[in-house]
Amino acid sequence: MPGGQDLKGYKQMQRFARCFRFSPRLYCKVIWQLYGQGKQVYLTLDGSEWKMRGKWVQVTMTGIAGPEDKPRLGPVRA
Amino acid sequence: MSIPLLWQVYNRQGNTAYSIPKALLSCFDKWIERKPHQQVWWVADREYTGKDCFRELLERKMQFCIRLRKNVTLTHHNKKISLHGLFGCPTLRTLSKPRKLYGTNLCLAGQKLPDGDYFIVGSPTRTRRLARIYQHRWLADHQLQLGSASKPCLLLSSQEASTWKAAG
Repeated sequence: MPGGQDLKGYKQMQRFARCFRFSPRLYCKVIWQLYGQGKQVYLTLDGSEWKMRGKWVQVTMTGIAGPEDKPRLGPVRA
Repeated sequence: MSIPLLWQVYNRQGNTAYSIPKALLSCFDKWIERKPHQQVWWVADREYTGKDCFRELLERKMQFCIRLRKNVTLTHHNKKISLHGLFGCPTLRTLSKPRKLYGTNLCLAGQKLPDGDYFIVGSPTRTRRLARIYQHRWLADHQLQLGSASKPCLLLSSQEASTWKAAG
C-alpha cells in the first residue's frame, strides 16, 4: 500500500501522544514559531468527515502549507 | 506537507457551517502575532465561500485566495452571467479588472478543465499568481488522505489541469 510506512509511523505517534494532554494554544504558538516566520505564509483550510463506531466525526483544520525551509528555533512566548 | 495549526472536531455530518472557519480565524488572531510586513494567505476550497466569510477575512486584514463555485452569478456589461461564462478557455486566464462577488471586489483567474468542470479562484489582492497560491491547498488535501504519499507537482499548464481537478 503506498504510504504504508507513513501510516504506521503516524499510528505510532498517535499511540504515544494519547498519553499526554497539551495546550492547543501553546502548540499553535510553537508551530508558528517554527514554520510561520517566512515573508509569505500560506494557511490552508480543509475538512474531512468519516463514520467511526456509528458516529460521524467532522474535522476542520487550518494548517501551514509547504514550509520547505528547516524550522528556525526561536523563543516561544506563552 | 501541511502542518496542522488549529482544528475543530464535531460529531456531525454535512457542510461546514460558517461559524467554524470564523472560530478558527478568531483563534488565529488571538494567539498568533503576525510580523508587520508578513503576508499571510488564507487558502480554501469552494466550501468556504460566502459573503460573511469574505467580510470576516477582510476585517481581519487577511489575504485570501479561495476557489469559487462556477455557478455564482455576477453582472458583466449590464448582464447577469454565471462565473463560468468568463472562463471558457482551456488555458489559465487572469482577468485584468476585479469583479464584485459576494459583496467583495475580487480579482479572478480560472480555466475550463478537460472534463468540463471549471477551476476558478478569487482574491481581493491583485496578483497574477493566484493559481499558484491556491496550489498550496493541495498539501493539506493530501495530508487528510493519510494513505497517499504522493506530492502534487507545481505545474500551471493546461495539460496539468486534470491534476488540479483531482486534487480539488
